[in-house]
Parts: sequence; C-alpha cells; structure tokens
Amino acid sequence: MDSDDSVTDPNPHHPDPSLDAEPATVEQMGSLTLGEAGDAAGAERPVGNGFLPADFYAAAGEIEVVEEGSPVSGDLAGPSSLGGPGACRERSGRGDALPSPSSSGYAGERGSSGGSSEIEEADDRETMLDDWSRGKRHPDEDDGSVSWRKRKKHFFILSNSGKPIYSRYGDEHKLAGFSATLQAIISFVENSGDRLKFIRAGKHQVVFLVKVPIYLVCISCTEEPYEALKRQLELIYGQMLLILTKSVNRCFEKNPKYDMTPLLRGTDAVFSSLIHAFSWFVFSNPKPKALVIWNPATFLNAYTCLPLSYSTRQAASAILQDVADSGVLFALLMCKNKVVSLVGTQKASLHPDDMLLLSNFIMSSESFRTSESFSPICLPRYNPMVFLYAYVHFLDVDTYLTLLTTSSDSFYHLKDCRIRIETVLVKSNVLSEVQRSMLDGGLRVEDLPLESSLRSRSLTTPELSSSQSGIGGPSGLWHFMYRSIYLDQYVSSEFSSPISSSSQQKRLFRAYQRLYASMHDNGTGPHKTQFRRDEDFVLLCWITQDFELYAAFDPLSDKALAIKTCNRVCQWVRDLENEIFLFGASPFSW
Amino acid sequence: MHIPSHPLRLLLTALDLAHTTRYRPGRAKPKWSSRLGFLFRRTRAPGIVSPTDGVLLLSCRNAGRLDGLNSENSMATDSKNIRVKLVLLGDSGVGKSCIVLRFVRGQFDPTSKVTVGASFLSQTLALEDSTIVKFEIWDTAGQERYASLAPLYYRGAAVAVVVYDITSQETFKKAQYWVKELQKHASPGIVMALVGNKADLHEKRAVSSQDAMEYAEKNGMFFIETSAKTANNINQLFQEIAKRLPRSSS
Repeated sequence: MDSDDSVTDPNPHHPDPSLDAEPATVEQMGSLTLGEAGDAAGAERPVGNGFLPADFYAAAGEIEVVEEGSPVSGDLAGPSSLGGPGACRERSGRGDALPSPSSSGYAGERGSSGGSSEIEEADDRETMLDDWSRGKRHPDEDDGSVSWRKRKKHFFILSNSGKPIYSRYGDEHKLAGFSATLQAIISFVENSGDRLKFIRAGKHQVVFLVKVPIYLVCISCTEEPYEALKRQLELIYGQMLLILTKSVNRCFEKNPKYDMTPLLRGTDAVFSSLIHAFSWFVFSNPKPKALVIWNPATFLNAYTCLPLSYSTRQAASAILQDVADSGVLFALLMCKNKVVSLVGTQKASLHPDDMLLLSNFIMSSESFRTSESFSPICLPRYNPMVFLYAYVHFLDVDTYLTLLTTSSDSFYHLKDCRIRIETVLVKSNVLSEVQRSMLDGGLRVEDLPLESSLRSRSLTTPELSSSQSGIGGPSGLWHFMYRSIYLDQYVSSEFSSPISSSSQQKRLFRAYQRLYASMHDNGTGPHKTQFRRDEDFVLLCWITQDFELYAAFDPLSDKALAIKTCNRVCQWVRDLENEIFLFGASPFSW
Repeated sequence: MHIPSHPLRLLLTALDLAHTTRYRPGRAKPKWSSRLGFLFRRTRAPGIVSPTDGVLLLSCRNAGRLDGLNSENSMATDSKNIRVKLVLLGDSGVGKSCIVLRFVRGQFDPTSKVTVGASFLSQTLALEDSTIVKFEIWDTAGQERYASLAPLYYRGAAVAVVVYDITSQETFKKAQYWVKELQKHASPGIVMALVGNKADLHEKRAVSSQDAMEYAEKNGMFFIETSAKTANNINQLFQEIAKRLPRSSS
C-alpha cells in the first residue's frame, strides 16, 4: 500500500482562487477495509507528459495563439472574444477567474462543474434536434465564427497532409486552414522524432491521436482526463473504419492530398450520436427526445445486457445459435444499446468496442428502420481491413437483429434466417419480454437487499426498509456500475432520486470517467481500491481480478458503511448474474 | 364516361375501390386479399391526383372482373407470376428511396434519410392481363463510398432504374456514368429506365427533358420524369417497366 500511488488532483498548486472546496479525500485500501488516509496531494503529474522539452509546455500560450490565429482565417475577432479560455469561462459563468495554463485537474472541475455543466447542457439541448434532422451541427460556421470558437468540445479528423476529413462543427472545407494548422503542429513535433499527445492551453486541452495517414484531434474545455479524450478519439477513428475500413489509407498512398470528405458524406448523424454518447446521453431514436441513457461503454470497454430471465435469454440464444451454425459469423439481437443475445461462430467473438460502434451506427442511421438492409460494414477490432456484410432488420421500434457474414451474396439466406428467428422470438414471447424489460428498467439501488441472508433472486424485490426511500439506496448508495472482467460486460444501476437531475447525472458520469482513468493510469496504477469524497459524491472503486465496481454515495456517507454496502452490491450482482449478464458468448480473446 | 384503353391498365386503384365498395366486415375475405394485401394498406394523400392516377381511377370498371382475376390467379401458371430483381442507382440525394417508398408504401417523407448500403423492399403489381409482377427492389445508397459495391446489387438484376435530379446537372452526369457502367457490367438484356425525379421543382430545372429523352433513346432506355413528392408518374414508371419485361409466355 503506497500512499504516493494515490490518484488525485494532478496539480496540487491549484491557482484558481475561486476554489474553496475541500481537497478530495483519497485513500488507498488493500482490500475493502479501511486503509490509512493517503496524501491528498498525491504524486504530481506534469502538465505535459514528459515527451517534450519543458519549454514546449511553457509555450502553451503561444501554441494557443497559433491555434486561434490560424493564418488562413482572416476575419479574426478581437482576442478577448475568441473561443480561448476567456470565452469558455465566460460561458460557464466564471468570467472573474484568471486564465491559467495549468488550471486543470480534479479539484478545478469540482469547483466549476455546477455552472459549466448547465451551460453545456443548454447548449446541447438547443442543438439536439438539429443533429437528427440535418445530421450536421451548424454547417455554416467556421473557425472565424465566434460561436464556433465557443463550442466546448471539437472533434476533427484530418489527413496527414492537412486536408480536413471531418469536423463536429462547421463545414469541413471552410476549415481547411485550421486543419492545416493542426497538421503543422503535429508534424512539427513528429519531425523531431517525437510524438505529440496533448497540449494544455488554459482551460482547453488539445488531444492528438496519430493513425498515419489519419490525424484525429479533440479540442475540449470539458476538463475530462486525457485518457478519456484519447479513448474518444480512438472510438471516432473506429467509427470511421467501420464505415470505410482501413483500406482508405491506400487512397493517400496514391495521392497524399486526397480529399476524403466525399467518402464520409451522409454520416454526420453517426458521428454526432457517438459524440453524444461520450458525454452523458444518447438519443432515443426516432423521437427527437433526449433520454438520459448513459453509455458508460464509451470508457468501460464493456457492453451491457438487457435484464431478462435466464430462460428468455436462453430461448433467444438458442435460435441465434441455430442460425449461426448455418454460416452466419455473428448474430446479434439488441434493444437500443443493450444486448439481448449474441452468438458467434467457432472462436470468433465480438469486441465490446465493435458492438458499441455497430449499435451506434445502426441506431443513428434512419434508413435501417424503413426496411431490411444489407450493407458492408467493417468491425475494426475484428479485422480493420475487410468489409463484412450486415443484414439489419428492426423487429420493433427499439429491437433489432444484426446478422453478420463474410459472404456478399448471402442476403436471401440471411433474410430467411431472420424470418425464422423472428417467428421463434414472437412465439416464445421473447420480444414481449424484451419490451417489458425496457419499461421496467434495470437494477435499482433501493432494491439492494439489506441483509446478505435475504438475497433476492428477482429483479423486483420490494424495498425492505422504507426509511431509505427517496434518498437513494441503503447507506446513501446513489448509483453503481459493476463490470465483469471475464465477461466483458457491465451492469449499471438506474439513477436514484438524488441524482435524478440531468446535471447531477452528467457530473456523476464525468466523476466516473475520472475515477476510471485514475484507476487505470499506467503511470501510477493499476490500483485496487480508491475512496474519494468531494462535495458532490463519495466515490468508491474496487478492482479485483474478476470485476470492477464503481459506486457513488451521498457525500456525507460513512466510509465503513459504504464499504459494507459495496460488498453487498457485489453479492447482489452475483446473485442476479443469470439475469443481467449473457453467458456463453465467448470472452474477448485476441 | 370515356375510358381510355390502356393495354396494361393497372388494377391497383380498381382494387382499392373494390375494397371499399364490395368488401364488408363479416364477409369472408376474398382470396386475393392475401396476395394483394398490400393494396389495402396503400395510403394516398388526399387531393393529390396526378394525371397518371386519373387514368388509373378510370380503370375502376375492372372492379367487376375481380372474381375473374382471382380465379385466373389461382390457376395461374408461372408465366403469370413474374419475379423481377430491380436495382435503383444514382447520385445521393436524387430521391431513389423516396421513389421506392412512394411506390411500395404510398408514403413520402421529406426529411432526408441517407440510405446505408442498400435497402431491400418488394412490391407486387397486378397487371390487367392478369400477370402478377413481384418487384424485388434494391434501393442502393448513392454515396461515393458505396459505388464500388454496386455490382453486388445490380448483378443479376432484370431492371435497372437510373435516377437523377432534374434540378442538378451533376446528378444527370452521374446517371450517365451509371448507364455506362451497366452497359459494361450488367447482365445483357437488362431493362434500363432513366428517371428524372423532383419534377415538381420545375422552376429550378437544370436538365431539360429533351436532353434526357435524347440520351435515353440513344441508349435504348425508357425515360420518364417523376415526382416522389406528388406521386406523379411513380406508378406509371413501374407499369412501363413491367410492360417492357421479357415474357416467356408471349
């Protein structure tokens, strides 16, 4: 047990004067027992990552100027109104704070989370409908627009010759100059034999991912950890591969100045829905209504199942297996982003990331809902070089069957398979059970059995103690996520009443994201346990060989009780595992 | 009332009318209703009657022959039941999916939904000579990234419908590209139709009917201008295609 290992505020010399919150309590526990309090300051993580000379970091301000004042964008507004740290702070209602190149990290987020999340929320809501009707957000903007500069999170894909490929906001072609600037920054560092991971400029973090000949860049002032943003870029790259395969690289071999934007035409909705899943909600298609459905899969590296009785899931798996034996590579039955059943032939198994990207692609492409489709699709984790063929059919509004094959002429066979599957699913009431489960929702912390002797075997055990009702589960438990490492699956509880507001949920999502990143930090980790208290939550994380548990409690919760509760959550999940997990799908194995 | 004699008068509307006038709940469902069940789900926007539809409406006198049609069908040989693979090609955004959805479901959705890969739909047409044509329609995505995959969908197709947007010269050029590609690689004897869609936007027209017609004639294609939005000429398009299909019986 090494208290220096504790993961905490990477920048103990926090300059932000507006911060009056107590420092986070970080403690290390060898197992889930009380441990000694660790050093709250923890090990200092450099602002950069040590790849670059120190003066490069000192030059962050200059980099920012380069970024802002892209020579191509002629119509620059005054520097104070630009989307730099100043503008961002203005938006989050903290205009009084001074820009500081190192105002980052956990404590900083805490101090500002209230205001900023509300603003971003409003920002997202306002444009939500646009996303689905037009696919592209604010296509009229470019890097000269004040509104574009004020956006909280930008994503860019560009080629290594600086040609824009995708931008979350604004028209790609108008952003050619901006893209060239990003490319210049990356290649400047590359030319010295180094690699640029990120730049911090005030509240903004610029994260780079190089997948030659493709560059991906995220510019964000959401204060998410570097690891989280990098993973988001990886997923965006994966989404692009799912649509095009890695063989697009050949286009650049022939012509380095190749313009790739036409190849991605019509896929804006796919990317924007993925980016939404990064933050805190995904859309409930086709209604233009934002449901607060998290997609922790974006950082947990796991998928989640729809809770179903063991026999119901078995019935679904049996018919899918039947079909898989007849030359279908994968048969996947999903309801929104939750798996009902999944079957693969032989040793092939589906990576959770591929499932996330595939379900995002299907749910965000409206045309799949109109009729049965047969489309080339690449599963980047399965084989990034080749197309598979996906037969997709929606059995009802939320439930869809995907049959993947390597053979391009098996449409009629897959169509027959689907008819067989659908008949069985309807006859054995699987579809109605799926719909019922969607309505019932998942595990509720209020239902956590109080005593381990009173283990329940049902999802709908009534609350044993009414004293806790309205304030979450026992011992102030508000929420938990349990990830089974062996199964590559996670289960996440429903939101209890103390975190019913969307701003609270977003705060929790971000807190989990940071918790996950800190637990899996290669530099200081991996860690086994972490207990953290701040003004919003008590967070407890426990990682063993078999599972990872993330739990959020009332900030005033007692530590010993919280630990006891976590043990009970684990027991509860184990008791229900036949209903909340899918067994039989071979674990991820390559 | 003058009834134009159209050689392949469609019974579509006739059956619609027959349904409302002759079929009452409680009575045994006519046998043909299962095969032609789609006819009863057709929804037609009220007030929109295209010239084509006018012709169709007049063919309601055929309603009296329904039982005859039914009995003929039950005894129909395979030559009376034609299954046709049809593929739609053309630039993205010209309205391929809209044409198909108008034909198959009688719907028009102005919000653009980008097709991914290809969608499969089928629709049955009953022709006046009692031939039943079942169209198996591949509605392909117009995006460039799918261009190389087009052979997957047009391989073995009996009919190719190449669509362009009359308000965009660029899409007409793209249509010509597809025609050339089909001439090179599609099955010989494929029936090809050139369709100028969005005919309702005539004030924005960029491709003249004359040019398109000449191009179509030169390439042995059937040419028609349609509007999926107003339903104008949509049924006509598929009837004309059915008319041009090679028949083993004739």
